[in-house]
Amino acid sequence: MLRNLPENILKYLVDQVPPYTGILIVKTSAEGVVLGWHGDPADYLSEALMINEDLSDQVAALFGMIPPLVSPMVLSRIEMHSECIADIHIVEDEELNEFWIFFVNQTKEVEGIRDFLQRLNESKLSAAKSNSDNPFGALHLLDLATFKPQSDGLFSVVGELPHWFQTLSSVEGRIKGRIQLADMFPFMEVFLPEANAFWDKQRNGNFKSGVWSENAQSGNNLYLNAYAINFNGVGYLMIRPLYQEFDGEMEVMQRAREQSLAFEKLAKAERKLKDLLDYKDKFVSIVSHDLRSPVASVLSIAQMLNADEGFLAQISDFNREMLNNIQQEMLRLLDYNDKLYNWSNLELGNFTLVTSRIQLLELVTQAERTAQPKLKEKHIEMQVEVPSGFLVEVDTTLFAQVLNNLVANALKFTAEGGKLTVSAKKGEGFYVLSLADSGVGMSKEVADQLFQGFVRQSTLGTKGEKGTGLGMGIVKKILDAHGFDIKVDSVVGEGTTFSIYLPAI
Amino acid sequence: MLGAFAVGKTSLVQRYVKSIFSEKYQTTIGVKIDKKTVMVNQTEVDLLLWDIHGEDDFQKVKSSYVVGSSGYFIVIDGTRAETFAVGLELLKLAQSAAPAASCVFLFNKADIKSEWEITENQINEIRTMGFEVIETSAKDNLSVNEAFNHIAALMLK
Ligand SMILES: Nc1nc2c(ncn2[C@@H]2O[C@H](COP(=O)(O)OP(=O)(O)OP(=O)(O)O)[C@@H](O)[C@H]2O)c(=O)[nH]1
Ligand SMILES: [Mg+2]
Repeated sequence: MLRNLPENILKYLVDQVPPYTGILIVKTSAEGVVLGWHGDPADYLSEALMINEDLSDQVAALFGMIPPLVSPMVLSRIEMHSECIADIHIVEDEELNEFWIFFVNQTKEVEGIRDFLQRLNESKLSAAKSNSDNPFGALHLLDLATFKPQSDGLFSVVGELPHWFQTLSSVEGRIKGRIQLADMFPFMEVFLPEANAFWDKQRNGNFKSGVWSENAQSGNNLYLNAYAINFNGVGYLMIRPLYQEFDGEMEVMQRAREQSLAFEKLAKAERKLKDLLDYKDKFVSIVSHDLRSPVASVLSIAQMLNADEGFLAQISDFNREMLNNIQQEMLRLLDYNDKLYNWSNLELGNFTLVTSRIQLLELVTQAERTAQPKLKEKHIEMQVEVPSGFLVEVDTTLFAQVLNNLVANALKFTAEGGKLTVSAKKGEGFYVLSLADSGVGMSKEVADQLFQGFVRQSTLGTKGEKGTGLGMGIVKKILDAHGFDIKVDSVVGEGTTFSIYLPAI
Repeated sequence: MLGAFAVGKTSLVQRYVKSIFSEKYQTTIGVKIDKKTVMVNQTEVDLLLWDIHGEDDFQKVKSSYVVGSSGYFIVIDGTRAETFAVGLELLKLAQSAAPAASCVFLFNKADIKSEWEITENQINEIRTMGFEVIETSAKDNLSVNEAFNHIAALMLK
């Protein structure tokens, strides 16, 4: 709504209303009927505000005030209800003949004055002696300690010293006659030279020091500000404690710094974690790389023995089966190892895409060819419904890995005699490549975690096929690198469909 | 005491002056001045320790706080890489405000060296600039007295 304020109203708000939060702004007609508001009426009004209601029904002080005699008009310190005192500004939008009413909470400020008036009256009652040398009257009641600099660099006390000042550990019992402020407050060593320069100018006004703190008798720190003041050609020095109004500021600073620290800690932990993850991937990459050749040679020895008719004839059935098992398991180990190697390198970002344009159909046909042995073994029909002419731009080697992994996964979880359909459709500027199987499907939890790299436990296939738990992680990494999306839809007991979205060329 | 926020300036002063340490972080607003009398080479010296608020975007250290000093510590938090650059910034400010003052670098929080981000190279960088470096811990009272006594001796030279 602030942005919708007419320019002259916004200007008034910025120029004339102190930067309070929690202002209530009400717009009324020329008759004082509520047209809308911004802010929380509950802060100021005891009953709910309503459109088309006469605002003075709720705010008695506004009765007969809209339209006001002059605009803008300010009603000061109006008691809204028992806990709220507000300034009310009435500003006219001449163009639209509407009025904008600002309610600015003054409760705190009034409380402050109340306190002062209370103390003033109390001190009058106790008949404090007046000091003719003190043009500031009862300033000590406002907690200001006032001094006048002397030519010898010492200070004389003006008026009375407020209570807090006398209880500072550095002050206690040391106020007799003129005082050496810099002795009392080493901080003055810094401030006095600046103050002297200011007094020398003799121009009315004040010059404020930075914040410093002193020990109070209570053992607490008291935060202080000093002011050098020129008043009618005479220099004064005032010291003021920063109580309530400062607490908020301190609180903000403390919290801001704690937050910065927490943020730094988080960033540090993240750096460490990233290093650790990289280390893990490097480790996996190196180990899987080094494991490849011993595993491959054991595999080829097993294959050699398995192909040696003469040797096979000499050994028992049991040993032949064992030998066959060795070959199968080594094959699986090699496959796992290769996937691990690929995965860790993908994770490390140790690859660059080399893309080229290719028919989607060609990629699918190639995957079909790779899957042939498994298709035959499980008597699964693979149906390809990819129109020719769908041209895509991919890294063919990596994308082939995606398709091989997805097809292998589908075959693993589809029972014998099942069906796998690979189809492609054209959308607006993209193709959707879908692999739909009639397999066992998966729960939503499994589907949600599918692409997260290492799966803690890979599920056995319908024929007890063991997996690596890495396949889907690899698929996702490669698709991410291409900038392609993948979605999975699955119904337990009915089947799973993976859909890849590729930009159409 | 000059340094980024939360490096341990207040903790070092409190450890030295009052032999206390608190885990709780209470940021210093403005300036807090403490006194301590020490003996340096059989001479009694009154040290006025200016614990200045940490430098960040909220509070900038005024050079007038440094002008009259005879010596200053640049305090860096070993566990926070960010505090190194802030220390060097403050060194620049102090060197132009108080060219004659003695300067010693403190790398604080030496009790948790396993968490340090500041490297040996960075510490050597400071040494090469000709400054003395002391690794301190306000928490475990490591080299705190030594640091203050040392700078007191430097200032008297
Ligand atoms: N482990 C450890 N923590 C420390 C050490 N010195 C200080 N701390 C902790 O670090 C945090 C900040 O210490 P402070 O002494 O308040 O730091 P500062 O430099 O005065 O901070 P600002 O006043 O905000 O500029 C606190 O939580 C201390 O407990 C130390 O030697 N070792
Ligand atoms: Mg501090």
